[in-house]
This record gives sequence, C-alpha cells and structure tokens, in this order.
Amino acid sequence: MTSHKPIDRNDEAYFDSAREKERQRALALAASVGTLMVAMRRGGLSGLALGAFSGLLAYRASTGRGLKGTGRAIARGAERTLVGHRTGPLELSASVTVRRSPDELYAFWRDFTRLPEIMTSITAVENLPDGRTRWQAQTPMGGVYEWDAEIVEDVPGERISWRAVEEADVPQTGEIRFVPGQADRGTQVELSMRYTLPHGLLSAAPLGFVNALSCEAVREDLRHFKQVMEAGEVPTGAIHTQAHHGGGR
Amino acid sequence: MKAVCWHGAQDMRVDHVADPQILNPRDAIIKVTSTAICGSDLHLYGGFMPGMQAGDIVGHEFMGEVVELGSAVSNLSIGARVVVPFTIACGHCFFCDSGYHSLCDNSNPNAGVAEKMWGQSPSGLFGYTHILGGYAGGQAEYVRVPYADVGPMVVPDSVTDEQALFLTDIFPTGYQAIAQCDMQAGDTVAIWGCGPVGQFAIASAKMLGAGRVIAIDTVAERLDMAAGQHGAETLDARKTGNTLQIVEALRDMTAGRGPDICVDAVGLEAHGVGLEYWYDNVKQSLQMETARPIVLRQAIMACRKAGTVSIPGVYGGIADKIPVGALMNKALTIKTGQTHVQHYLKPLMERVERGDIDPSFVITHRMRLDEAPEAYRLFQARRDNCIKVVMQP
Repeated sequence: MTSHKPIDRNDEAYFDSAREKERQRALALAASVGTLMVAMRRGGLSGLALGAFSGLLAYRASTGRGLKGTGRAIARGAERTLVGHRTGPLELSASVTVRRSPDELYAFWRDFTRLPEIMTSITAVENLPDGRTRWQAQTPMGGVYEWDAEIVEDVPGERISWRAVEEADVPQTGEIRFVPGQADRGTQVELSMRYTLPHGLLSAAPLGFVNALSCEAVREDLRHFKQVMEAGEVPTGAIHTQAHHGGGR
Repeated sequence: MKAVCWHGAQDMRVDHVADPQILNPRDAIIKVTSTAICGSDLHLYGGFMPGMQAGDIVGHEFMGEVVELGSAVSNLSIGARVVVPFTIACGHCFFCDSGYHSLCDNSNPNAGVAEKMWGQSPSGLFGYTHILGGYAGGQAEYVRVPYADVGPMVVPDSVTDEQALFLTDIFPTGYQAIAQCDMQAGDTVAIWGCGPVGQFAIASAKMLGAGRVIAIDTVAERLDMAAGQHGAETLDARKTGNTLQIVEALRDMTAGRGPDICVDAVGLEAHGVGLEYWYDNVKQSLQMETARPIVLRQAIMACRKAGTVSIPGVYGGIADKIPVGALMNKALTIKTGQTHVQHYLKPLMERVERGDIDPSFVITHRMRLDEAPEAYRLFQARRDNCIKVVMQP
C-alpha cells in the first residue's frame, strides 16, 4: 500500500508518473511488433538478426527495464504511425435520460458491485473493507486484469466520483452525475471517464480496455443502466446461452 | 426445433436450430400454433433491408401457447393461449407509458446501430434485422418472448387462432394508419396498396366512419377483395397511368378537393410506370436510394390541402425526389411509425369478440411451416391469388 496524499481529481502529477512509465513500455512493444513483422517478411540471415532485435525490444516492453535508449528512434516512428497524436489523457463522456429519481439511480451506482451488469468491459466489482473497490476486467488473452479504486467525492442523490489508486497500470477517474430533468421527463445521468494513455489505445490493448475506450462504449454502458433501472433487465436478441448447443424439445 | 431462416435474397430455408431458452426474468417461451408471412417479410426476402445475417430466424406474426415463464412474469400461466405483438416493448419507459410502444427506449439491444442510421432507436422487433435487435422471429416451433408480462395477450376461448393471429401486426397496423389521422365524419380516405395491411386499413376506415374509401392497387383480385369485402371504390393504378395521371384521377373522383387522408400501405418496393419507375429502380439497385417511394410521392401530390398523409408502409433508409414543395405549400401533416400494437390490442380484441370484424377474411393460403420457402415464392409473385399465408408448425 502506498501512502495517501490528499486527493485531487485534477492532479496532473497523479497522471504524469504513470504516464511516463506506460509510455516507455508501449514504445518498446510497438517497436518490437514492427521489427518482428519486417523480420518475418525478410527471412534469411538479416531476418534472423531483426527477429533477435525484436525479442530484445519485447523483453524491454515486458519488464520495463534495460536497453535504455535502444531503438528509441524506431519506436518514435512506430508510435506516430500506430497511435497518431492521441497521447494525452482520454476524456470520454455521455448522458442519458432515465425515468427514475436521482436517489434511486444514485443508490444503484453507489453499491458499485452491480456495475458489471451494465458495464460491458467490467467482469466484477468487489467492495473492500477499507472502503475501496476492486475492479476486474477480462484481458484479450483470457486473463484477468485487476485494479483498486477509491471514492473521491460522494454526494448522495447528486454525484459520485472515483479513481484508480496510484499503483494501477492505467490511471483513470470516473464521475457519474444525476441531474433532475424538466417536468416528469426523468433524471439526466451524465457519466465521464478519464484515462491516461500516453500511447493511445496501444497502452490499453494488453489490459483489455480497448473496447471501453470510446464515447460509444460509455453511452452503451449508460444505456444498459437505463434499461436496468426502467425495465429491470438488459435486453438481448439471443435465444440461448453460448453454452447451449441445441437439442430437441 | 424447426425454424424459417433467412440465408440471403430469395433464400428462405427451414433449418433445425437450437431451442430458445429463458434468458431474462421477464421472458416467456411460446410454443407457436399459428404464424403468418407479413408483407414486410417480403422486403427481407427481396434483400432490400440492411442488417440481416445468414441464419436469422424470421417472422413477427405469431401466436401460441405459453410453455415456460421467467421468474418475473406472474400475469401469465403455463398453457395460456396468447397473441404476441410484433413490437417488443418494456412497458415502463416514457414512450411505452405514452402509448408509443413501437418507440420503446429499452427493447433494442442494438440501439446504438439504429441511432447511427436514424438519430434515435425505435423498439426492437421480432425477426426483423439486427438494426432492430436481432431478435429471433416466430416462424418457428418455439420463440423467446421478452417482456412477456406486458406484451402477450390471452385470447378468449370464443376467438379462433385465425381470428386472433392478425392482432399481432396487420390489423392494428391498418387500424393505426387511420386512427392516427384525426379523421372527420364524411372524410374521403385513399389507400394505396391492397395487400393485408391495406385491407385492414380499408376495413378500419369504414369501421371508424369514413365517408368514402378509395382503394388503389395494380392487382385485380386485391382490388376485388377491397370492393367485395368492404365496399371500397377502386382505382387500378396500372390502367390509370403515371403519378400525374393517378393524382388527376383522384382529383376528379373528389370533385377537385383531393382525398382528405392518403395512406401509403405499400412502402419501399412500390411499382409504377414509365420513367419514374425506371429511375427509382436503377437508383435502388445501385444502392443510391433504399426505397422506390413512388406511392409516397403520389400520396403527397394527391392529398387535400391541410390533409394527412399516413404511412404504415415500411421504409428503411433514404428516398429521392420527395415533393417537399407540395408537402409544405399544401400544409400537409405526415403520420407514420411502426405500430404501437400493445396500445391497440385490447380494444381491437374486443371488436373481434363483438363481431365488428372477422380478421380471417384476408387469408388465402393455409400451409405447413415446412412449406415456408414455397409460401414466400407464392406471396412474392402474388401467384395463385396469394394475399395472406398462414402456416402451422
């Protein structure tokens, strides 16, 4: 456990150190993949040499250590090609109107453990004894990626904000706001997420976050929230679960 | 189980697929006893609707017996005989509460896709593209019915399957086409398309007190049904000519006023004559427009000043050369939408019980589910006087 500093959601320093660490690892990974592709296309002796170099870069990407400065120029080029200019924090937001009172909507969200019902990329959320929450997402390779989050602000019936604790690999904050709508039109729910991705989507790829990183994905999660609150369930067009392989009635 | 599956344009097959299961607490599983092919299924069959995938189970007009219930459905019992609205609606959102069930906010799992196409998403529909939810349809032995606590309606013993079946879609659809128009006593209603929806629109117009009903089509036996069953006046579009000639004929029939209400019960695959039809056909096949809106143009051009154009006919995407000048300068009102079936189900069931109408008049063919591919061919070609096919699993 690291010590707690006073919390400020807009604290750039919180994002900066993690951003630099993440940046170096992602650069090396990009360079490694690029070199390996060239190596495979070339074959022969030069291909073999490039393949070895790719391996070194991959090692550097996985450990975050060694080979200081190695292939930095290549990596810069690869970064520009692969992720363009999206190197700052990624801000995503969406809003939806729900026919429930702010208090009812707040209560669902404040529990946190029901969020996997509505958030496509989250597989589990657990409340920890110290007031933190432990979040779980599925990685593309079938593994599990976990991080802890803490509540930053909690105003019953109005808003909740949270952020990943400092040791998390992908620094992120989230905020949900409940604003009473006009007349009987329901409550306006606004969700904002902020991720630090020094190398764009590339940083998030190994962690299974890619699908969550668009305003469409945030809007989709909010839509599920509305569906659960208004209709009691998230709709599906399926007729049977994946595990079911037919059989006769 | 057996189910009718779409495999591409002009390719419906009866496949063996996995049985449906209860997936959500408000689901029910229905054992289908009767199912019908809708005119809008022909748009899928013809390959005109985007968002279909090979293997999709089609069919949205069906009824049957409840065989399984989710934990949150308490108003139905196993064995109940029910009709199921083709529009899937949660019953609790702003739109459901306002009687606009086909605009339900919550029932389309692929609402994001629909929003990209149309700005906002309507409700999900059974067996009608992944844009509208990718729900498996009811031309099958069993079907999963979501929100079963608010959708399906128990059929009284005195009402037969054939009398109840069309409450799922075409009867309410024809009825809504008239009911949404604020019709005044003595109004003249012109209805393009004398397929099943057109027939129910004609019947509903008469039932709701229209002064005159003019039925327009190109198929003789459909015009005969309109005249014989409901006493409509008829206009054979093919004999009358092009859009201008049809508009002129309607003006003459109404002493210069034009019909007070014009109903497009045809939709995106309209037929016409001459250059106009050729133009739309070419543009549609090049996918430069998704509809041949010939009837819609005629309805707008023919409609009385300050009259209402009602569109129960199905459209999916983009149409060309809509006469907006006529629309604006004649101060027309447009009423349209998929049908809010849940809203009309009870009053229309009461009309059937009272004997105001026997919806089975529209049936021309009774077949087995196994014969679905042939049924689609018949219906599409309007062969053998085919107007409505009912199938039994």
